[in-house]
Amino acid sequence: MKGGMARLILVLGAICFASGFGLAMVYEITKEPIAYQKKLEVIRSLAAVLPGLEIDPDSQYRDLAGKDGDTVRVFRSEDGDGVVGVAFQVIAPDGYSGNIYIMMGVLPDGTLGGIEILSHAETPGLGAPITEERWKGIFKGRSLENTDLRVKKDGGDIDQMTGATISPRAVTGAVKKGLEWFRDNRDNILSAEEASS
Amino acid sequence: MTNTVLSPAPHLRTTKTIETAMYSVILALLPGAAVGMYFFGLNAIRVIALSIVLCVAFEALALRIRGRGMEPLKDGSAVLTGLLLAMNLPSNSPAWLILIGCVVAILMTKHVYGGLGYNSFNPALVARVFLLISFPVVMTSWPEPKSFTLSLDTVTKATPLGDMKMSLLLNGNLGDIANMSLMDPFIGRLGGSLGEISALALLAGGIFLIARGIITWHIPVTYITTVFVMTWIYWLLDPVKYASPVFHMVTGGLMLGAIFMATDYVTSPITPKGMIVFGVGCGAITVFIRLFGGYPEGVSFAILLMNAATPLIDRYTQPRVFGYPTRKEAKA
Amino acid sequence: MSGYGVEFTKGLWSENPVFRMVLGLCPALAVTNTVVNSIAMGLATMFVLLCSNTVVSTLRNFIPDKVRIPSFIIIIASFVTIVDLTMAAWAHPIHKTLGLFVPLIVVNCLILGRSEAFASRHPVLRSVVDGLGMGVGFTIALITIGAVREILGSGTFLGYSVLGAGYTDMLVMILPPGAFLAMGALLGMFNAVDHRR
Repeated sequence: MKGGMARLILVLGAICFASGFGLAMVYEITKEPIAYQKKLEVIRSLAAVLPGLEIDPDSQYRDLAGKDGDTVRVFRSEDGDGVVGVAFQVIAPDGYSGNIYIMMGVLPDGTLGGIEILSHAETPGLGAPITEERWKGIFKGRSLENTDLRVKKDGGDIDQMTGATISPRAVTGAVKKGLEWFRDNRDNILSAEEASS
Repeated sequence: MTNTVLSPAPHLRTTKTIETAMYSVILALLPGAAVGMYFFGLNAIRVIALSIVLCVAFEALALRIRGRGMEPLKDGSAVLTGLLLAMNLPSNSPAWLILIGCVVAILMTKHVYGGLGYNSFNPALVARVFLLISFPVVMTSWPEPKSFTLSLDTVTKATPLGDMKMSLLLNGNLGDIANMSLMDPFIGRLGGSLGEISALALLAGGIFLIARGIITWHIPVTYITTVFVMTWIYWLLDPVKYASPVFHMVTGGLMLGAIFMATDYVTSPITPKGMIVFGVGCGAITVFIRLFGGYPEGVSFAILLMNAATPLIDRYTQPRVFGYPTRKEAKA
Repeated sequence: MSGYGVEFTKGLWSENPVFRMVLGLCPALAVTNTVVNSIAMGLATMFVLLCSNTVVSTLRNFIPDKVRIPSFIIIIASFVTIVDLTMAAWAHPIHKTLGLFVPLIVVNCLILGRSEAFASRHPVLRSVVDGLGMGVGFTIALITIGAVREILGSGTFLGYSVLGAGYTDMLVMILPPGAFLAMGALLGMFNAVDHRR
């Protein structure tokens, strides 16, 4: 029986070793492309919310304190004269199911460059149209001053889609909060120097 | 001997047949349907007629496909399903919606499982829930009730339960409905499905059915009482966030569900004890969905969930077979 | 060598993994809400099936009976990880949509079933053909379910509108219950066709 046992261990060990070796190789090969894809994802969302501005997500950002003690990573696009646009992520916790993650781009004067839905778990077909270009486009150029950032059903200026009010309301609310946070921390966000905290 | 009809037990004859039961229930539904017709006008009549005709047509089709002959068509169960389905739809339902509903009710829920008596879920309710999940926009655009009119144009209006959920979500309180008159919904002047709007008319139908012995009191009374007691407790705890029990009585599909759909012979328990368990379960689930769920109304879901539990309830509430000892006696 | 044709075609119809053997239902029900997802999941599963069948068949005389199940699982898990990493690197969006269901291919009983019931008892070439047939059958089954659900639930096929703008989406079909409804209806149809024969 002893020889049998040794063989079992040997075979299983050999298979594990081969498998581990193979996986290590695949991991090495795919490591860079995966990192690149993740970066590309951020770049795409930044390009969508700040059209025409260039940002390198690896270097042009600043981590600031958010409203609730969390950290907000603010991506900043700069030219010779200073910051020309910032983008940061906000979370709408009151969607129909789960959090809605939104990237929003804000210009220095406080108007929206655009919004992008990063991920959501809303009911397909019902709440999901928030990801449609024609709805997200409504936000471009809006600011706290020129727009009542609430859905029309609640007396605001943002069109909700037929039937589904909850998802647009959640997104609109989160964007409004984001803009308010930008307004309250504008100097800190736009300043050239890292604020001491 | 070609006329011999084979049928399962019981063989003790009574004057009560499937037909009398079905047509009595249909008769009892008529006041509720009439109120719907009065407030929603021609539209309501169109929905009811279309639903009944389509359900009967699909029943005939299913019987033909299954080679069963047209005899069961006379039992009235398809007419009842059609009427119940219509009463669960908004009065401005387009024809295609009713068509899909009838396919789901008759073909998918009833005949796939073997026809009347074999389906584990109430066909009209399955159809309603299928439509509600599939077409939430169409299924929740309730026309505003007005006195009888021939016009087909309607203004849509949310149900009081929908208003309540929305207001709670927005402002954290009950909003307007805290002060609304409860007499209107009692008579039937409120937004909602075609046949659920008048608690009064539905109650009258229920009393008629109990008086004629078509249904027993167990399910409707325990169901409604459970909802009343539970919503009352929550109301006492926090009247700002929870509506009064009377409000919960007269709005939504509670009366229609408790009296006409939870009592379906095929899909509810047989014994009185089982019926009480069933009624309490329906009531509790309804309250939980209405107060804490994503949907404003929970009657259909509650009844369907309890339908699923019916075989289990029947199993544990089996009466003692005559001559056999009870479990306790057997152990002793 | 005759019989290879039969070995291949049995996976398509007479032993179709989903509709005849009712195996691999987790992905068949969970990710078939669009045709694109169905294709991706089908191909990923087919790749794993093909590779694991090949390796298991090659090693069939080397692996002792007592440790065959752990050995099979290690082999399958390795290939699943390879697929997972590869998709993350070069098919990022679809990898994001399929999410957890790619790693879950490990526990797809179809794959272990083929290793245990076929590859460990047959020569390599025959196992490859078997894996290919089963994989294609599985993919076709997924696409069929996906097509029914996407057309009824979103009015589209592969993202292109097929039912016109007037169609009201039957949302239930792209939600979880729709998977069971579509699956049930298709199973019924398969059985009906079989009875006719």
